Amino acid sequence: MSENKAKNVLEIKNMHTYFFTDNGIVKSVDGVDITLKEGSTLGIVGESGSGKSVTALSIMNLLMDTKGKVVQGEIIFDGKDIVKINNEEKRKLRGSQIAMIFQEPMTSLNPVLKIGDQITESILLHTKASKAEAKAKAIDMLNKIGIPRAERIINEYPFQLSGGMRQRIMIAMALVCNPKILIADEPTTALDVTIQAQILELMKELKDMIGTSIIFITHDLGVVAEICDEVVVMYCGRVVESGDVYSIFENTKHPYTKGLLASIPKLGEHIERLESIPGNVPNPKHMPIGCKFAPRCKEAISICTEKEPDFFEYPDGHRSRCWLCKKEYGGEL
Amino acid sequence: MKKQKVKDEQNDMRTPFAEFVRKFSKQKTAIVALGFIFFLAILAIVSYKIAPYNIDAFDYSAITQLPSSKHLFGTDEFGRDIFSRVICGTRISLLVGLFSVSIGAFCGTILGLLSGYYGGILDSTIMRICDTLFAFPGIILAIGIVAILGPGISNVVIAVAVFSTPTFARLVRSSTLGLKESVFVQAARNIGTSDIGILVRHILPSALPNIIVQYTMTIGTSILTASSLSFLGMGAQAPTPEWGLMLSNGRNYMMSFWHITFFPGVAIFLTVLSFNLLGDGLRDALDPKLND
Repeated sequence: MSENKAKNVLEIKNMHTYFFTDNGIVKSVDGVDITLKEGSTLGIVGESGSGKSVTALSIMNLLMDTKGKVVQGEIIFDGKDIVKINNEEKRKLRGSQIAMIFQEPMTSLNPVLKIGDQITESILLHTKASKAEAKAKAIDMLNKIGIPRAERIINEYPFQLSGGMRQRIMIAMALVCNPKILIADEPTTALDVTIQAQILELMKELKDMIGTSIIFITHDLGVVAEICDEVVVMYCGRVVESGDVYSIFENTKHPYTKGLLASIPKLGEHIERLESIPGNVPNPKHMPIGCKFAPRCKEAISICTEKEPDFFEYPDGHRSRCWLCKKEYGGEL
Repeated sequence: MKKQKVKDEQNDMRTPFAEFVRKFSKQKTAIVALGFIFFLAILAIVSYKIAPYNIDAFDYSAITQLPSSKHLFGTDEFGRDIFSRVICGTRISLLVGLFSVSIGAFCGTILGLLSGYYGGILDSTIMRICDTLFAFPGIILAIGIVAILGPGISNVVIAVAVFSTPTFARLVRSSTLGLKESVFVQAARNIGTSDIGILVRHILPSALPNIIVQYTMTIGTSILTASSLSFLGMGAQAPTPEWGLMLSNGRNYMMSFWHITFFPGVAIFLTVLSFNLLGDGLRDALDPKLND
């Protein structure tokens, strides 16, 4: 266990992020444990409202503008709990150590600044490079991400580029300071399929080139299978299943993950209607007692609506928060 | 059809500034207004050199003369040449307009940025103060400030600056409120940009078009306010060739000698009008939603 820990770049321990709204407390993330190993890609999967993005914002410490707050738990990065450090230290961490790319490449670049200025901003903020050095570095980065005529692109404005190009620029901005962690919040959702594949391929290449670990937030399980080493499935602010990508896809344990996988259309199979998980994610203000997924679960048994299950851990590290898994192994319910 | 497409592609490749110039060049009235403002600016610089008469020289042999080839705009009740006085007044009016609005725009922009970005108590405080200032009709507020500071042209500048500040603060605040939620601002925060960096590099440039239009429009208004204050005896003092003051002096003779009030009045009217027209043109040229 201690061996494993040495290689972890990021450890989230029992993190709770609550939003204090006028209508009461919304528990967006309620006890999440995530470990990111160095050089690996971790996928966070879940429906809308499952707390994926809030988890990302908590790691980035970008909650201060919202009513949200990490109320409990630790986020350990580089041996330090980054929940507790002050705002100035948090700011220095962003961009240089932990970077993030967003879902909407069309709006995440400043429309009135030249591409070059936006990429060099990060370099100038976090290193002592001169403007000329920063510019050279930006051009170098653009070449790395396969953007043609980089010298000209840096003098152009975002509106002159396509969505795929802009997302590449965003990746360049995020990676130009060689961060240890890159958080990608549905980076390919707004792009068409061929561009998606290119961006994913690019991220894979850069990960090895720069040595960044990636947290990949998505609801697209196809993308997860493509890029991730490990997967965390979230539901209602909790991790319901986690493990390496093979065990999640081939040895699915949690009924929710099964439901997600069943709802993917399969090539060459003709069906009138896709599988879906009935119902909706429960309102965070009126959470069901017991397992949060029980009301929508096809396999629910009586205990599911009475008591919330703990993780059941398999020998290979695969974990599932489900009573059925415990039952399967003959555990006491 | 094909030609149109080619043209569109060219449009896409223009820099924002080139696009602005193209759109602005289509605003004929605004260009005329801009030309007139340039003319006024040059006049303001060279006024004392080209004025045919000494503006303060009394000539009792030629009082209240109607316009003639000798005195283009006629003479006033002391025999001073109105043409010389009007062109020398350009400098005062333009400087007052420029300075007061610049101060107002500067303070208002800073207050608006802070108020919109940080919100909370700071926002409430700044906005309530602005509301209070808004509650006064502009000229009353200016009179109040001059009453406290005492009459004089520099106090007029301060008074007009104070009453144009809240407009800018409101305007910039509303832009900031919208922009601070935008993804690119969050992206900037993501790479560790400081609050000041975000405000100056990311929010201000996007709010700038609005500020420019408001700035131009307010110059017209503030010239008018400054003249009104002088007219009321609270601004420039005699014998300064201030347009409002000239109107004030001439109003006793308005029934018999129209020219004493007419020419300074026309000067105020044309100046304010051209700033307003320029502002209109700038607004149309800077609004990305208005496409040709």
